[in-house]
Amino acid sequence: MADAIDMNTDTGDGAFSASQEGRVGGGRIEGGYDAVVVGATIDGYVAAAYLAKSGLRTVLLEAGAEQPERRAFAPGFYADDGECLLRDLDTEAVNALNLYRHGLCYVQRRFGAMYYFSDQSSLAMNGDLFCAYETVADFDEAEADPFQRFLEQLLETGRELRPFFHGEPTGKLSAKTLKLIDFYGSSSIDQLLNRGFKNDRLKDLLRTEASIHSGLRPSDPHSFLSLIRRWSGEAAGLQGGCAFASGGFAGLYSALRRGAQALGVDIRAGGAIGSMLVEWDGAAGVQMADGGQIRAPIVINALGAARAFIDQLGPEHIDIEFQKSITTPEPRFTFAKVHIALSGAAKDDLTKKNLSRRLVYCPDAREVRVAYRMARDGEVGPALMAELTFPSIFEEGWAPENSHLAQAWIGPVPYRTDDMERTRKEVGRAALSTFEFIAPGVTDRVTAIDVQLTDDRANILGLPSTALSGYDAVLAQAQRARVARTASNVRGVFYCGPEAQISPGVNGAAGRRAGQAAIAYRRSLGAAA
Amino acid sequence: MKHRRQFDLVVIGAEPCGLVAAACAAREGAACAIIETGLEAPLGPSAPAIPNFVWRRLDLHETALTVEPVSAYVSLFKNGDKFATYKNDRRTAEAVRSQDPGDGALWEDFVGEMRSHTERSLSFRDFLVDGETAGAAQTAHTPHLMTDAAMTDALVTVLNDYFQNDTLKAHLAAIAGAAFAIGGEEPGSRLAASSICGDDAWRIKNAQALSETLDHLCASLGVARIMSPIESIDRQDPRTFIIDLSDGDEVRTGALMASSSRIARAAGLQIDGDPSPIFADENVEAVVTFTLSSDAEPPAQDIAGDSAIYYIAENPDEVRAARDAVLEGRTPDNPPLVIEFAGREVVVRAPYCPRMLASDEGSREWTGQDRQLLGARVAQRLAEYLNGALDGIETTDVRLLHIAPDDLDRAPIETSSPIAAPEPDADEIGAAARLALKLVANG
Amino acid sequence: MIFPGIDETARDPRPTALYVATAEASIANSWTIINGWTAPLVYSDIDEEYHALLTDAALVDFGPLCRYIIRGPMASNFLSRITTAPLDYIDIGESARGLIVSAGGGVVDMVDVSRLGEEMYLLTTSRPHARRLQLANRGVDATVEDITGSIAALAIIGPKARESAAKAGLAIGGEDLAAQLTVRGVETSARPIHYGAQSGIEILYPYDEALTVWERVRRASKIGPAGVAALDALRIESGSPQPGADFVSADDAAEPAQVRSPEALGLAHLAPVNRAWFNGRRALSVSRKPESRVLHVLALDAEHIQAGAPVVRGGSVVGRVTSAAFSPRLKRAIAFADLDAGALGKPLRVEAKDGALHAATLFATPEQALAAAFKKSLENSTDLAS
Repeated sequence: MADAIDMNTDTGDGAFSASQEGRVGGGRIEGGYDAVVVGATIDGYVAAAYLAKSGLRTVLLEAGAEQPERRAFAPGFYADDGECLLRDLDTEAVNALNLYRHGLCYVQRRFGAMYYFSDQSSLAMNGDLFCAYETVADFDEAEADPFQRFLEQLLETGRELRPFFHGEPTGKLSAKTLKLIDFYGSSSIDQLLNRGFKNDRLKDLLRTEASIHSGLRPSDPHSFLSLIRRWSGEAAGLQGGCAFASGGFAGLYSALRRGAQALGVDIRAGGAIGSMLVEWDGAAGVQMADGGQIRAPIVINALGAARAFIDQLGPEHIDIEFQKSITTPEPRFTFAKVHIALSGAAKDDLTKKNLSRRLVYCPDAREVRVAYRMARDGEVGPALMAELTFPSIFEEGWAPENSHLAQAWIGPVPYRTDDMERTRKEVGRAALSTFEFIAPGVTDRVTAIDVQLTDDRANILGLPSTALSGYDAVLAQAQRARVARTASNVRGVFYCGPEAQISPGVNGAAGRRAGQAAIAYRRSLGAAA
Repeated sequence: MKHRRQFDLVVIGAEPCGLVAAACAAREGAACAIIETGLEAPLGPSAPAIPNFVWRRLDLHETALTVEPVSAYVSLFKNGDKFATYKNDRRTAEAVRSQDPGDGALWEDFVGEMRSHTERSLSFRDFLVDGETAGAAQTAHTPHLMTDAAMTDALVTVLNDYFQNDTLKAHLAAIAGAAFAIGGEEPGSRLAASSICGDDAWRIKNAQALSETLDHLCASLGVARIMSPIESIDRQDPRTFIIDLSDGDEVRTGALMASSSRIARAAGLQIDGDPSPIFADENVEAVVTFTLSSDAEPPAQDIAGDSAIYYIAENPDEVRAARDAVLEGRTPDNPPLVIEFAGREVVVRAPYCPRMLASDEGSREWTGQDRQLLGARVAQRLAEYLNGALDGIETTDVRLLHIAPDDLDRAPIETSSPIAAPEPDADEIGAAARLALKLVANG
Repeated sequence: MIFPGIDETARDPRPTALYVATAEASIANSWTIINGWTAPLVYSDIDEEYHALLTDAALVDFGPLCRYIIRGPMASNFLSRITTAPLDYIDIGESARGLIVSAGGGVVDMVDVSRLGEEMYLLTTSRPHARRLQLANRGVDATVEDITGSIAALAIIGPKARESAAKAGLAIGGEDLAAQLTVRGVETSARPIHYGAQSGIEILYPYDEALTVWERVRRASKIGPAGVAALDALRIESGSPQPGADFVSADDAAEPAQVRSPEALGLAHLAPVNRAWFNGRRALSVSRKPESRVLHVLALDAEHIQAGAPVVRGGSVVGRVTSAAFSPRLKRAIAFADLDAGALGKPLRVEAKDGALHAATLFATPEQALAAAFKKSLENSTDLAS
């Protein structure tokens, strides 16, 4: 057994793929595995890959978290339902899975940004936040310096706090990091922006960057950490930058899948999980809904915490305090993903240059507050924050010839209403009017629009919508993650679902951490025997 | 002739909490001064309680002061319902039980959990330390798994998690909201519930006597009283503040604090460190005083006793909507109100008023007309709830706390350094005293 | 079951159902408050009450204990989330002792579970746990009814409790089973119980009939009532620690150092980590570190000692007395003490208020014997395994 653990990674492709890729089922009891990973999420793949790499026979059950695929929403136009702008991919995980070799490739990196403000002014910034000074100086000479200093302080803090956002146990964090968390911990975005500098437009810019997709109101306590977190990550080697992977979110998944397979992970499609098997407080495998079992002493769960612990592990097996701690409150508002099909677009160099950036609409402070209030009350506000990108600019295949695909995060919008269809329509209208504000006349060229609220994406991705909305404060997430990671202390059960993450967007660190913890656990078992 | 004076601690703001802070520090042998800002809130019928440790430190038993808690906190509802809680937990539990037996059984657990939360250090460092490095055994013995994880909970989340009864939830949301002007849905706003459930949070009746006793005590302890406005504050080094006064004098001090975070904010001063999650600084509190032709008749005396504080907020949503209105620079449509009766006077506090009102050109200051409108709105809302108890209004006076009165013409204070201020707490006096003692001990 | 420690700051006591009876019987008029309920400390003479409990039988008002009825198909799952009682092994009518353990492995309370029907249980706790029950109910469907204040609870404690009960028409038969009995037209539920190591019978019946049954038992069996003080002396002798006095309930602990595991309290046999799952078992099976503090009963060479008195060895303080009583049987003070684990087996002294040092010896209790037997069985089973 010890040999197997210490065995090197180069055991050849699929050395342990005992059964060829296929479905689970038939009520059989299968053994011969060292570990089962439940849920084909990014973290699920990463965790499985780590296990396989260290020589454990690993099976990954998709378990309802299906491989996301590009979805045609209009003839020739494809929507990408995940978070396709990568901000913070865990570099260790990328290297461990050799993702670049397996097809991860950035078709656009170092996104510049064009910010549009409610007073018709606009500000262009290049992708490197450390070089903000020059463009901002053209915008507001006096404020460029304090703004740059503020940004640098943010980035510096973000870098310092990165281990925290990646779920490093707080016991291992430096005193300096903890001090920074103490210092920024309960501040709201508005409070700290008011201390930084005076230009209202620059405040609008930061407020939008901080609030978009974090779902926290800028006036909410604890919200400032979400701005630091947004820029703490590194994508394609640039802190605070973002990158677009070839094939979008689905492209990243394919790379992960290929990487995991190459390391010998046995990936099984379909098959609903009935429950996790626990024998004497230790993991014993997984019971399928059809009565079949896959037995293994290690189970890593990458699904939502409620599903993993309450449905699959069972409330009679988890401590009541633990159950309380992993419960996520239902958010009141969220951000929607909107895809817009545009006809007759030019593909000349100038258009390409203009559209290969993020276009961000930043409403002013009052508009943001109104929007949040209305979203809370189930309505769509008149002016929403929006971040637009155009995948068809950097990659073929997203839209037909001579047309473009625009995709946008837009919000805040209601999380759940009585009439979701109406809400989707209103969000679509709001998205178009924002788009029209940024690019007058564009509405005439829109041929189709597709609105995905959090619940819609949750259904597609097989994850809980509470986790996808990213509603909660960073500190709450951190606390929940730390509890969830202990997986209620069931020996051999590890958890890397959405509730175990604190990172900004798609990351993989939770999967890596769960994988590493499982390997250490396996070693300790080996040592005991 | 420029006078120069040197102190160990200077407190900005001569409210009761500032007086107590200075007196406590003076008892420790520190040379203390209080600077009056002119922004102090006028005394209402009730005052914050004096925690036991302050009573002991100042030997208040030697003074003639007696304190008596107000008899109840009462919520009034439009349909005539009323609900009261009391200083005595068991009596409150009975009152809750009469609304909903299940909630009644939970009341003491709720208060206990809230209190345990305030007793513990709220440092995030403690909050986050998980002992993973110290081995599983230590993690296993962390007792506060539940409360720790709940530190960033919203007030409404906690209330909904515990209780079924809407009346009780509305009551608690109204009290917490009135104390901190929060909406109840912000992360961390459960701290407000911890604070109002605190042992020392129950307000007392004799505000006037308390204030006089403290004035007298400060004088006898040699606390200097400075009336001249501050022109600038300069922090030369961590242990030296130089305060220039408008009469030309200069005050040097080793430590400087505001008596409350609101006074600091009103004086245009920045507060040192990370603000507490329940410090909302977008609002001001309005005090509307109605003088009646005869003594007012407080409602619901059967459950309220003779000196209750009354709250008006139909449900937690009204509280949240009021906070939203403040954020948007509007006065709320249905402002939550706090009402106290004192003889012919009815004193109404409206905690949810925006500091600046929104207008087409951005934002503007309050005008006399705005105040009149507010007074009329408050009177109208009271009429809906008080059922004739407000007949015969002779005069209406509207004051905005912590905003300089029109006749007080002061230039903003020039300063670059933030100053210390007590954490927002329903136990204002205790919070100020603790901070003062900490500052003096460090010096 | 056990009464919890007395909270000196408790105010505004409520009368129990039996208050009318206990008030009339109380000659000393000496009262205390337990869980907010009035409880007589001493009725007339603590010595007589103690001896009645020890050799005969006495009436005790069990109104201050908290009681919950749990119903539903998942009632046993619900209870296994809350308590350590071996629910798989109790049949209808049977009862079992157990603990409430927090997720961190700290003892919260001592409880007693009786199975009243196929899907119905009675949970008796020494302190209220409304919040814990509320949380445990999530995801496990059971109905919980708090009957604490709505019934009369009369206990007959002592070696002759059964005979005394039988004389009053409350014979519960040979097996240790709860029984539904009618006495003077009052429907009662009688079941065998323990208070510490003392056995007895508890009779639950409607609130309004409180006096009827009390009088019936008192007259028929000619036994008197016993107060909390006498019970406390017996409790310490039997080795049952009291939440709120001898240890801090894990739910109330202000810091981790105050939390005590079942092992540290000498109650490991009530939370068997080698049997079915219960809340907190995982934490207990992980932490193998030997306990640094242990709770132990001391017999003193003195007649009085106050709670809080330091226990010294050589010149250093190694622990504190947590609760104490005079034992009329031993003619000496007997006390629970929270001790440094390293100090066990060494000569100890307890410092009285006046500075006098009294020799103290470890006192073997029935509870301790049970714990030792359990430990031995654990060792045997692990021997077999390896």
